[in-house]
Amino acid sequence: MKISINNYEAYLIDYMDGRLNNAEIQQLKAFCVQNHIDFEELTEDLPVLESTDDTFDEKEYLFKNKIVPFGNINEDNYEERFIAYQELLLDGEEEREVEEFADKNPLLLKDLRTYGNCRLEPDTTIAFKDKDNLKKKAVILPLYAKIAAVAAVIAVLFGLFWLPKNENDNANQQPELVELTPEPSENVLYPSEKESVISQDEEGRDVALYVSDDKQQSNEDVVRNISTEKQIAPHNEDVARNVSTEFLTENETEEIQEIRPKQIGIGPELLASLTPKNATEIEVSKDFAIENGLLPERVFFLPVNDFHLAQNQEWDDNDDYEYYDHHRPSLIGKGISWLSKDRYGSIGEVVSDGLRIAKREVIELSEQALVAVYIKADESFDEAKNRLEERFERKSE
Amino acid sequence: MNKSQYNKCVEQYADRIFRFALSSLRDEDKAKDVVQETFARIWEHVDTVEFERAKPYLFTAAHHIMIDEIRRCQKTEPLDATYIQESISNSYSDIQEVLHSALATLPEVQRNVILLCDYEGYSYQEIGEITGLSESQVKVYIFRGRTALKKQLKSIDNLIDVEP
Repeated sequence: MKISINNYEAYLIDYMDGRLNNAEIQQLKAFCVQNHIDFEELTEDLPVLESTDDTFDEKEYLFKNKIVPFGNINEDNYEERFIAYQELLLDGEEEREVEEFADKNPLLLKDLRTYGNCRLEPDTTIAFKDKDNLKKKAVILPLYAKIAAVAAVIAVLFGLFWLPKNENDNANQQPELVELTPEPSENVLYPSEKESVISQDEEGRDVALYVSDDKQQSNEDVVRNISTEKQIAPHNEDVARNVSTEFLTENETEEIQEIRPKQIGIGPELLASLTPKNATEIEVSKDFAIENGLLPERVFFLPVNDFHLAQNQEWDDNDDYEYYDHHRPSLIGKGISWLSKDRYGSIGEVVSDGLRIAKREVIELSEQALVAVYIKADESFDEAKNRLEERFERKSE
Repeated sequence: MNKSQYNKCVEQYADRIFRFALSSLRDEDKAKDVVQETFARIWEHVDTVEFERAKPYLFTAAHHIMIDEIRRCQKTEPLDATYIQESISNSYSDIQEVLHSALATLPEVQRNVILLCDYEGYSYQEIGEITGLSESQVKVYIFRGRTALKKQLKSIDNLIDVEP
């Protein structure tokens, strides 16, 4: 026993409770004398409380009533069933089961009614007053832009629909190269001969081949090499037609924009530089692809006349122009610049939706609209390249 | 513990918890709140609390709820010792009533350990388990509390002696 100034009171309690032996009592008393503690005073008649007779008169609120089960409803699941009952999720038999259960447990009737009162009703008097600020202003294109859009044609996926037929054709005979001479249309804005050029990107890669007939300005094929593995996603309808989809990010779209065709002149050098490695896609006209039996891995309907639309239209210095300019990297050449990118989750969606609109609006306007076909360069690449070379040779003759 | 045993606990201990809280808090409404909260807590854990351990569980919960309540009130309603002293001297009718009134002047820990000891007859060790104190600390607090109560009684005696 080691008594200190910090614990001597505990020993005093033990002393009063008779828990100390004589030696311990002597030791405690000696400690008190030594520390000038009045042992007798402190241990004399310490008061003890007697319990009162107060009672808690609200016990009924504490008791948990025994719950009588009925059918499949019991103490564990009755609340869940009550909610389902009030939410009208139960069938007739289940509803009757709940009602029987409640009848057998009248104290729970209040709970059942309470769940029914727990439904929130919207306060229709509360209204958001600034709706106008949230609305998007419609971008209205001038008529010439729409006309240009018609010329800036469309992208269609031919894919599996016509490929097998062409494959068979190829197997039987070597297709002849035919100059395409579609009838000029007032609704189609065709590039002039001077604008019909071969393009290269800044790194010297050939990016476009534009073949123009000397007599027919509208006789044209366009070949474009896009040095990106990414594809512009088609619409869901196209996906349903077994076309693989890969959305572009904005950066990727800008990357495509960077290699936008530049007008540098006509020449077979483009063909010489085209290889499967640097040309993952070739863009040709629909007719050209058909005529030459090109076997596209993926084919999109895309408006062709991007370059033309972007550079030759005189846009007013207004919102429309700013809008167009802002979205130029993703929209130029797609003929869908009137679409709001904000409505879509990706550029691919913008493009694909634009195609859908183009199909509906543009194609109806002109059956002669040019159609661009993106062809993934694969085993058909060499064949396509050879055909183009042959065509050049024939033209030069 | 099942529902039947829980209800038995209400029957057996609700009054005792109430007395414990009322004596400590000196406020009937707050004491009732303590009882409600105490039994709400044990009901939350009814599946894990054994019936045999229900009593110490209840008093432990009540003790902590009261400590929280007292500390919360002390921030907003500082204890007026002078007022309590005057109340004791003016309204006592017997020694137990004086003692219960004087109890309010003790620190909450001393108050509770004395109540647990005197009302419920808990051992020092059990009180230590309920309050989270060591047995020695319980003894010290009880001793100091009783000594303070004795002083209160003596001061009342002196007051009576000098009154005409």
